[in-house]
Amino acid sequence: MRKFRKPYIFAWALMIVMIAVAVAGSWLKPHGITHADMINLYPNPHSDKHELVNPPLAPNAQFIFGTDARGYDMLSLLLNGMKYTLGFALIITILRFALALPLGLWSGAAGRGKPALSGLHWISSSLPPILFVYPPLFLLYHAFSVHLGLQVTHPNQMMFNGIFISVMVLIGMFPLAHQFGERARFYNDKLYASASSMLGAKTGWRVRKHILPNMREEVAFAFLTDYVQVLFLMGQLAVLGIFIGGGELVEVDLAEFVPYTTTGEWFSMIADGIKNIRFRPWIVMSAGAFIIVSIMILQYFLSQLKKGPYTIPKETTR
Amino acid sequence: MKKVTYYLLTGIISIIVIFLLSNIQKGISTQPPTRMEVVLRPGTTLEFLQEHYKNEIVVEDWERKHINTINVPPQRMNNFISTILKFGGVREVHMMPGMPSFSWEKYGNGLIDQVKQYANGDFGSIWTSPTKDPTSLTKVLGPMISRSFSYLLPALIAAFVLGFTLPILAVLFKRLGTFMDALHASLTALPDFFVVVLLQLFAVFISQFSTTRVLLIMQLGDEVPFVIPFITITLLPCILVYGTIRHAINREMAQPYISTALSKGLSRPKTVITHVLRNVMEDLLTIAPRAVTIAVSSMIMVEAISTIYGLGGYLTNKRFDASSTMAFICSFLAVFTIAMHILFALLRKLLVVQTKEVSL
Repeated sequence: MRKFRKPYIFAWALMIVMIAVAVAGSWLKPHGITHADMINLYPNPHSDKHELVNPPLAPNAQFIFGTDARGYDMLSLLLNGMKYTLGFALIITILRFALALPLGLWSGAAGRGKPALSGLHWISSSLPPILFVYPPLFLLYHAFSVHLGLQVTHPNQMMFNGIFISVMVLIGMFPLAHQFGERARFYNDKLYASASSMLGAKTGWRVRKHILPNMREEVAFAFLTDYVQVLFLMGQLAVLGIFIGGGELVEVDLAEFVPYTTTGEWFSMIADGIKNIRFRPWIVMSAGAFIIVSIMILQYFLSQLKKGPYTIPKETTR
Repeated sequence: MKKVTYYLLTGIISIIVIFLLSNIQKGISTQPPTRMEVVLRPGTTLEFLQEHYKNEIVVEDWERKHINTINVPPQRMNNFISTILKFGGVREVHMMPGMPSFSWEKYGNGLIDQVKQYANGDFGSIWTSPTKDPTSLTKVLGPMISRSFSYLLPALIAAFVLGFTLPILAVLFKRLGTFMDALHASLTALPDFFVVVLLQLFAVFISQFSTTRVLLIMQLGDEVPFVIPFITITLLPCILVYGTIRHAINREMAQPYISTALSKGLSRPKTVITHVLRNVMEDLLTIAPRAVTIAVSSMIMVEAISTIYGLGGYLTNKRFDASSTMAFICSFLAVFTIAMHILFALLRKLLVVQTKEVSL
């Protein structure tokens, strides 16, 4: 009887825990993140003297990852923001696949569009995506005044979020479409696919019955790999101050207002933390750590999927 | 040569796309603002404000108690701001942006003007200070390029050397190989910006135990950091090359000709160096362009975080308002990356023996 591999089971357990924490983050968070939970003054946890300090607070017994400038607990923000960060990245990946998979399959099965697809693939993958994505997003970010910390429901913020998602989808779909096109071409050249074609099967039938079933695993692996790439690119854009979501303007000093996230979306916290890395390193460290742990879980899950669920029995020689 | 022509053509298309995307703001116009955000003093509520100015304002959002949005007719915006600021309960007023719109005609005219500007030798200006005149990009381009390339080129060389050498050591020393494979698997999860963050925090940490500066973490005057950009740019391409060459060496080591060489008494190191390396050169030259792409991306990240005034630093630092120079800087980086791709394509043609079936 075949046995499940322990690392395989462990990988699935990690994925389920990650998804559960993302979904239930709002309930798991130890502290609130509304205006009622704002802290203006707090007893200094790192001093024996009875003195009060303003947030942001360094990690202490009550706030294990510290707080941001509003006094919101970092762990609570990160748990609440997990679903937004992983959810946005998932939406972008799904949209990429929704466009790239049919395009690639059609190109491979029908034998058309290969030069154009190769060209678009080379254009979008040979250069750093940042060179294509950053200029228009940066310019639109300021043209739409999103840098003022607009609410999520503000029309300018919603329009920018839509453009952000569209740009992220477009930059990644052509390499995927090219990859699927090459694989579809490989399976289309097989004898059984040629026989099906000679018997009168149309392209759609061949794709559905002969090509796609053989590509299921590859599509799943490509999905996870691309999801990680989307997270990396969103992280790079956040470092450059571009992120989606919405926020609020918070007064950090006399008449100095800075936009802050209201949801705890991780990349907005990276964008804030990067600006203050030398003075408040815990902000970027905690958000970065959550991102890295999520990526490691995804990559471990992918590697275990590739190895398969069952142990390979040892060959015995007689 | 067909391949090189293909690269050149797609490279030109890439630069045109970057040019079009980097000038997108030329087609955008913003309608006059009709909304403002008011920051109220404690004790003042939006309802009270609306009661006081009931004929003039429409309150949009009742849920935000601290900062509130109200609608005002655009022709009365300026007068109303000065009026409402006299109200004791209002501390700050921020005019909210109007709705943006895009015009293709305006965009097209903007692009034509930009091309004419380039033809006149004007590649844009950089504002280093709001009170000073902008500096022409041509004056700062030379120092920008030399700064960026002072660590980009050494880092690329180091990435290729390490990425090619470490897999050889991994296959010769099994325990080292196991350790490096595990390290490789964990480092692939590390984003480049986090490497910079860790290095900067490490530098700050060790400086606490020293009276002198241990590591420069950002540009100070003409002093440009080297160690942090060098390590950051080297790391990710090295990981990529290591993974590819390791896989390629394992593939070759499983081939029958290697088993034959080993069974004939050839030592493992000699087998690897004499037989395997030449057969993995194609894998190295195939992955090299991708490594260059990752290196350029890492360079932009490290210059942005460490505030280095190189190509990536000027592109991304909000202090310089590089909107007029964005297209040129991005195109320059694109040209460099494409040139490296063409170089590796030529090397592949020269060094790799192509085999084809010939029909008789």
